[in-house]
Parts: sequence; structure tokens; C-alpha cells
Amino acid sequence: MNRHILQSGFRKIYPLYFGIVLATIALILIGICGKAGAAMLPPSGAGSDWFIDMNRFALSAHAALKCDDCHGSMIVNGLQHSDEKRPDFLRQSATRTYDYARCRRCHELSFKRYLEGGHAKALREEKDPSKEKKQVTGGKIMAPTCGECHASHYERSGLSRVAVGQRMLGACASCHPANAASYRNNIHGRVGIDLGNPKAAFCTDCHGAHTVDSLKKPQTALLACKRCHPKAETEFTGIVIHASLESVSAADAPKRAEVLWIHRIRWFALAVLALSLAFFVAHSFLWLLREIHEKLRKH
Amino acid sequence: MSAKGWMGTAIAGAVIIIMGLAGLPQASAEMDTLETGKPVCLDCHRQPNIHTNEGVLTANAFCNGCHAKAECRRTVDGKAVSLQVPVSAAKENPHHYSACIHCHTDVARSPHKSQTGAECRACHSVHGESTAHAPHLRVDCQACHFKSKFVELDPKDNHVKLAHSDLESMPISLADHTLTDVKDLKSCEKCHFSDNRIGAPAAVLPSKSALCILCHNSPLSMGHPIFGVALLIFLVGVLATLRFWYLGSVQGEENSLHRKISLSSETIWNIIFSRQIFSLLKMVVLDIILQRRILKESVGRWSMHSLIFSAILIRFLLSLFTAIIFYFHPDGDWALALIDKNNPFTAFANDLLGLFILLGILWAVVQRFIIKPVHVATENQDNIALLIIGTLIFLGFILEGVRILVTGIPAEIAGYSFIGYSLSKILSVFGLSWKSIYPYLWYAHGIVGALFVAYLPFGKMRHIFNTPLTYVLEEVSGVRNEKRI
Amino acid sequence: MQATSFTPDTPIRFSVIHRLLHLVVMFGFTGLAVTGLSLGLSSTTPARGFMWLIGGASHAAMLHRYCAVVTYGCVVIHALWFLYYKFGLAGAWTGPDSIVPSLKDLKDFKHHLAYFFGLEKTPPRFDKFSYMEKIEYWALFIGMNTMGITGLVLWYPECFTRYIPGFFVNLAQTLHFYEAVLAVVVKFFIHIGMAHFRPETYPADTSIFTGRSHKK
Repeated sequence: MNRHILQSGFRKIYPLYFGIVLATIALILIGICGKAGAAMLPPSGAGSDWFIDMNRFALSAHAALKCDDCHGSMIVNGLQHSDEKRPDFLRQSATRTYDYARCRRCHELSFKRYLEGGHAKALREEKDPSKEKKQVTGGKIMAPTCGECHASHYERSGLSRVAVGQRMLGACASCHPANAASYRNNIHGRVGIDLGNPKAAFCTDCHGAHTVDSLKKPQTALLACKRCHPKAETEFTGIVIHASLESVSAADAPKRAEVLWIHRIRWFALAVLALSLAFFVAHSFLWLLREIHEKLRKH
Repeated sequence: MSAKGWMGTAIAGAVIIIMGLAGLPQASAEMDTLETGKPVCLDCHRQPNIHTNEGVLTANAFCNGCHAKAECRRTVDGKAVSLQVPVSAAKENPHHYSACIHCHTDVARSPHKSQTGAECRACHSVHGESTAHAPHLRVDCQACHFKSKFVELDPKDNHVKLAHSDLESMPISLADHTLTDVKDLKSCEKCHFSDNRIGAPAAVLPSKSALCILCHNSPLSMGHPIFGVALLIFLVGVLATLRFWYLGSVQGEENSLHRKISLSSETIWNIIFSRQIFSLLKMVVLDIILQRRILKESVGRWSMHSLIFSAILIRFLLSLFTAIIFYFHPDGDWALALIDKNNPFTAFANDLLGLFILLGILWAVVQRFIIKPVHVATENQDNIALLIIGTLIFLGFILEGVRILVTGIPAEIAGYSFIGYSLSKILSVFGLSWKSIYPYLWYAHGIVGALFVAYLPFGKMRHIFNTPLTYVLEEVSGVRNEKRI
Repeated sequence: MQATSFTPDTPIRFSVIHRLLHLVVMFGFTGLAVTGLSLGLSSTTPARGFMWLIGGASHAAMLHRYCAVVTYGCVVIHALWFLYYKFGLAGAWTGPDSIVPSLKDLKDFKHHLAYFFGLEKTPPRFDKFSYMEKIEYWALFIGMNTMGITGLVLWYPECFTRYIPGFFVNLAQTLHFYEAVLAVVVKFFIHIGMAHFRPETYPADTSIFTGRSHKK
């Protein structure tokens, strides 16, 4: 190999080579930015439920139903709808005045599974004034009925696994924001929500649809993990999915300790990164300045 | 026709008439219900299309079912507060053709409470520097634009909003949608008066001038007359310099100014449209923007000069970019971030670049007055130049500190202005009435800035034009003075 | 610019095996960086775009592991070469041709810093490898092995959690990400900057490709 050519030839084509590399990177970035579709989460619930958008309703899963199929005659116990004399007039959420038992007519199985789960238990506790309320979400949020998670008038059917998963995250995040955020940082959230891969696990894949299992016990968690990781064993469930302090309950001391360790290692890694970069950048910058100065003086 | 024929016709006619009468559209069972029966759900609950005039009227009729009545009220602390919205019949009212739910987007539901408030920004952009500059980003639109006289500072998000009660804590109604005439500057005194409790300066200050674009995001107007005066002085200085230059000969021509100007413009034109333009551009980038010749002399001198020059250049480019992007896309993320002095990037960049300028000035002062190397001669004009720039930046930082202190921005946001925030903490130790001092500081900073512009053609700062011009002329004529940078 | 002459006695700095390994690692590392960062920074637009380009996250994972095996293979080969150098060639562990840091490197660092600030007229005379190159080599050594081990844990969590607690996988993920960011920034900006944009070596320091050092 004639090394001479390598040396002098390289110098000649260097501007061209550099230009080509830059142009390629630029084109890739432009093309990629153009094509990439953002992981769309549905817009939040802000909007009116007094006005029904009939175009969206016509596309929904309930489009074939008429108003009174679900809402009945709107006269209950002699009181007519929009009665100003009701004590809770304009103050109650629509999801509390509607009787969701009516959904059983078509959704019997889901309703029964919901009754077995934690959300129904929370609803019973909310309605029972004597019971002490267990704070799962750490806020003043109401326990969910069907209407809190499913948009009764606009929910579409036949969506892909990824689309359902992405919408599901939006619904769960409205009461469990810390878990949603930590899930999005975890590999399952990244692959499922950001990158739209159907192989990832979404909320109900582990926590059960309507039964909302808590997965605190390793045996329950292992059953959930084994669905995609058949070779997993008990300690595998020790991997923390919701790795933030807000996601772990105050009572679970060992898990909190683990999450704290994760944060400490994170800060350590960040510090090493910052210090190393500070040294390398400063060193290189000073070196460059001095070399350019010396080179200028030689001419 | 015979009698039988007439009888037959009469009977046939009667049958036909009776049958015809029977076939007439009659009030059927359905029609009974439509005229006299109860309303159907969708009569009220079908979402109206508020992009149409009919839809706006329908939507408003729904709301006016309660809100047009005088009995529509709520009770606060035992007192009745009216929720009756005076219906504006005036077609001049800018919102006459809007639906209630155009602005109150999330209130048509149970519970009947809004979480987002009225969404003015759905149709309107934020104000630019000329009308209501960056600190007004924390003021709700209604606080200025509604006639209601009382405002308050919401501690939860540090926003200025219309108060729900007056100065004696009596609840007031905010249902009146009458708009203020904001062209009248007296309306600004709703917030800008001494001793206000919302952290506004005690006086109404004019907007920045276009001259300030060297460092700040500025509007395209002259602002206060003093900047116009400064610009005039600057122009006089530039013209005087040009006249002085053209006293000399141009390409052999000694006398006729007209010939001289036409000769030099010929030369300029020919250079621009020639191959020489590329080497000229390369020289502009390397020697003027990157200051290669100073780096050839000394790394220290290059560093000191770059701290001042590059920081000002970057600030200028950033301000220019902000002004352009705000003009074309005022609701974009970048525009909103760049005009907001509390935005993390803008705050940090401005403080860092200002610090660079100040450090460069300090280094120059140390060089001239403490180290005093033999080759450096210090004249009055050097001192004036350093003094003006140094004072300008110093006043700028003090002003930033007072702004952060007065508006009470929380540490998590203000921390990005690492110098401004520290200064605000230091200044807070002195229990002065900073709200009243701020206007004076603002005017001082403005005056020094105007002085900087006016003095440019007369002192050492002239070099920002002369030096690049000299480099270009030398590059073009091929002559080079090796004895200086 | 480059005062180089290719006479037969220009000293050989990198033998063929090192040049080959560097070439392979160059491409392997770039592949690792692009596929890995598209997962680590998955919420950004270029990351999603890249995933679309190569056909989804599963393919990116496969490419990433492929490049990892190849790159770590180079590390293993380099380690084997070192054994050959030490025991086959009876090479010296320390000395002027060694990659092991010595006191001279500390002196060179001080001298070099003085040169930056104009206190010394000339840069120090480096041995075969300057202190900066030694720092990069050993940082790479630590880095590659960290990435390899944490990467392996992330590749086979079911196997590893038989022996280590579950949250160690989370720790591995954190270290893997931050070490990746450090490596990518240092390699793509610092290393390439110093090899291409320093006036002494502009347009490129080709000694790693030609094997010859610069004759001064």
C-alpha cells in the first residue's frame, strides 16, 4: 500500500469528504424529522360534556345507540333532568350522577371484572362515609367509575394494540401521574409509547384489564412478568419498573431504599459525566487556542 | 247530459272530494309530539358548530338560559355575587360574534367549574416588546383588558389576575365583559402605582428602542425621544467622518466629491461581483468575526477582546433572531421562549453573555491600570469607552436583580439567571422601596445606552467600523501594514 | 502543515492489527451509539425517525447487540494481543513506549498546561503516547468494560437476576446510559476534534490509519 497516496491524497479530498459527511447527517436529520410521527396521546379531558359532538359520536363504538338506550327518560323519582332545585345542581361531576350499572347490558364481563378490582373497592370506600380512605394516588381524586377512564360518547373501537396502549396511558396518568412518568422512563414505556412497538407491555398487560392488580406481592408480579419473560424467576420481579419515589408507597421501606440507591447512582454518574466533560472541553479549548496562535505566528 | 249523468258526476265528485280531504296531511301522532310534547335530548345537547354564526347564537342561547337572568348569582360569604352577563348588543364590541364557549372552553360540563379559565390565547398572540413586554407574560389578559379595577397576585403560579374581591374584601362580580381602552396609558395605573401589591414598578415605563437591539429583544420603534436624539447625533458623527474621509483623494481624483463617490462605488460594485468576493468573505469570517489577527498576537489579548466582542455579537444575533421569529410566528415555542426573560435558556444565556462582557471589561481595566504593560498606552478616550460599556452592563445586572426582587419570581425559575437572582438576594437585604427605585434605574440604563450609541462615531469605539473597513480595503488593494494587527 | 516524510525509517507507531481493530471499532462504536441513543432518547423526534428508518425497535435492538458483540470482540482480541506482547515478545510493562501512565506524564501535563497559558515556549516532547492519549485509552478500557457488563445484564436479565438482586438491573441501566452519553460526547466531539481540527494535525491525524508517526 502506497502510504504516500493515503497521506497527500487524503488532504486533497478532505474538504469534499467533510462536506459529504455533513450533508449526509443533515439530510438524514431532515428526512427523519419529517417522517417521524410523534407518539400521540389523546388530548386531555378539557372540553364540554354538555355538548355532544355528533360527528365524533357517529365514529364511536356507541354510534348505533340512541340517547335513551343509556340515559333513559331522564326523569328519576319525579325529578326532571336539569332540575335547578337539586342540592348538588352544577356541583356534581357527571360521572357521579350517572348509574354505570346500565353498562352491564352489553359489557357484563368487564363490569364483573371491574367489581373484583381495586378501583371498585376505592369507589365503595368513597361512598361509605364511615370507612377510612386509603390514599393510593396521593391526591384528592375521585375513585374511577366506568366514565372516568372510558369516554362514553367518543370511545372508538377496533384500534391497534399500540393505539389502545397509548390512550390507556393518558387515562391512567390522570390519576397516577408518577407511575405514568416512571413507566415512560422505563424501557417498556420507551419501546411501547415512544417507539410504538406492539411487543412492549402497556399498563393493563401487567396490571390486568379492569381488575387493576397492585403487583406488590412478588408471586403476583412474577405471573405478570412471565407473560413475556417465560424464563423469569422470583428475583426478576425485583427489577423496579416505576423507579421514582413518588410511585413507591411510603410504607414499602425496602423498595424505597432501592429507588433511593438508583437515584444516588444516577447522581454519581451525572457528576462523573459533568466533571469529565468539563475537563476534556476546557483542555481541548485551551490547546486549540494555543496551537492556532503558534501556527499563525509561523506564517 | 241526462239527470242520471249529473247525479253520477255529483256522486263521483263528492267521493273524489271526500277522498281528497282524507288524503290531506293530518296532524298525526308524531306531529302532536313535536308541537306539544317534551324536548328531545339533542335539541339542547347537540354540539353547535361555533364556526358558524347560527352555531354561535345557538350556543349562546344555551348559556343565556341562566346567565341572561338577573336571578343568576352565587353566594360568597353570605353575600350575593351576580353572574348575570350583560348581553352586548353593540356590534362594535370585538367579541360580539364570539360564542361563550369560544373563550370559556371547558366550562360547559358538570361540575360547572373551569380549570383553564378563559382561553384568550386560542385566538390572540402574546404582546411583543412594543406594547407589553416580557414581564407582562405573567399577567392574565383580563387583568389589563377588563374594566374591573382590582387586581391581585396569585401566589400559586405568580400570575397577576383580576381580584374576586375589592380592597375591603367584599366580593365583586366579574361577569361584566366590558373591555378597557388600553391605548390610554392611564389604564396602566391599575397596577403601576406606588405601593402596589403585585410587584409592578411604581411608574409606567416606555418600551425599549430599536437601538437596544444590540443586546435586547427590541421593537422596531424609536421609543423614548432621547433615543431619537442619540441616533441623530450618531448619524451626524458618521456623516462628519465620511465627509472627512472624502477630503482625501480617491484614485487620483482630488477635487470633485461627486467623482470620488462614483469612483469608489464603481470599485465596490466590481469587487462584489468578482472572484475576489470569496477571499473577502473568508477574511471577514476569520479576521473580523473570529479575530484571527489578535490571536496571532497573543492568546491573552484575543481572550479579553473576545469576551467583550463575541458576547455582544452573539447577543445581537440572538436579539435579531428573536425579533424576526416573533414577527413571523409569535405563538411558536421558540418565540415564546426567547421573549420570556424568565425562560431557562434566555435567562441563562443573557446572564452568561453579560458576565463575559463584564469580565472582559474588568480584564481590560486590570491590564490598563494595574499591570500596565509597556506597550499599552491609556488615553482619556480609552477610559470613556470602558466606562460607558462597563456602566451599561453593571446597571443592566442591577436592573435585572431589582426586577427579579420586585416581581417575586420563585427561586426554581429565577435560578437560571444565576447573576440576577444572586443580586436580587443581596439587594433584598437593603429594605429600600425597590418598586419606586426601579424606574430611575431603568432610565439610567437607557440614558447610558443612548450615550453609547451617540458617542460611537467620536471615540475609540469608532474602531468597530474602522477596523473591519481597513481590513477590507487592504485585502482589496493587496497592501498590508505589517506593523499593526 | 504536516511535516511528514515517508522514508523507511519513519517509526511505526501502530502495527497492522491495531489499525485494523481501530477501523472495526470505529464503525462498531458508531452503530452502537446511533442504535442505543435512539432508545435512550426515544422521546425525541430524530430517535423516532431513526427507528422508523430501520424498521422498529426490535431491529435496533438486534443491530445494537450485533455491534456490541463485534466491538467487544475487538476488546477481547486486543487483550489477547497484549498477552502475546507481554509473554510472546517479552514486551516491557513500563517505559517510553508503554501505554501505562508514569510520572513523566504528570510532568508533561504540567508543562503542557504552562504552554497553554503562554508560560512555556514549546509543547513538551511526548513519548510514543502522550498523556492525553493514555487518558483516552484507559478511560476507554473502563468504559468498554462497564458498557459490556451492564449491557450483558440488560440483555439477559432473567439469567442475571438468579444471582443478583432485581434492582441491580436498574443500576445497570442507569450506568449504561450515562456512560454511553460520556463516551459518545468524548469520542464524537473531543476525540474527533483533537484528531481533525488541531492545526498541528489538520486535516486529519492519519497515524492510526497509516501506522506511521509524525517525524518532527
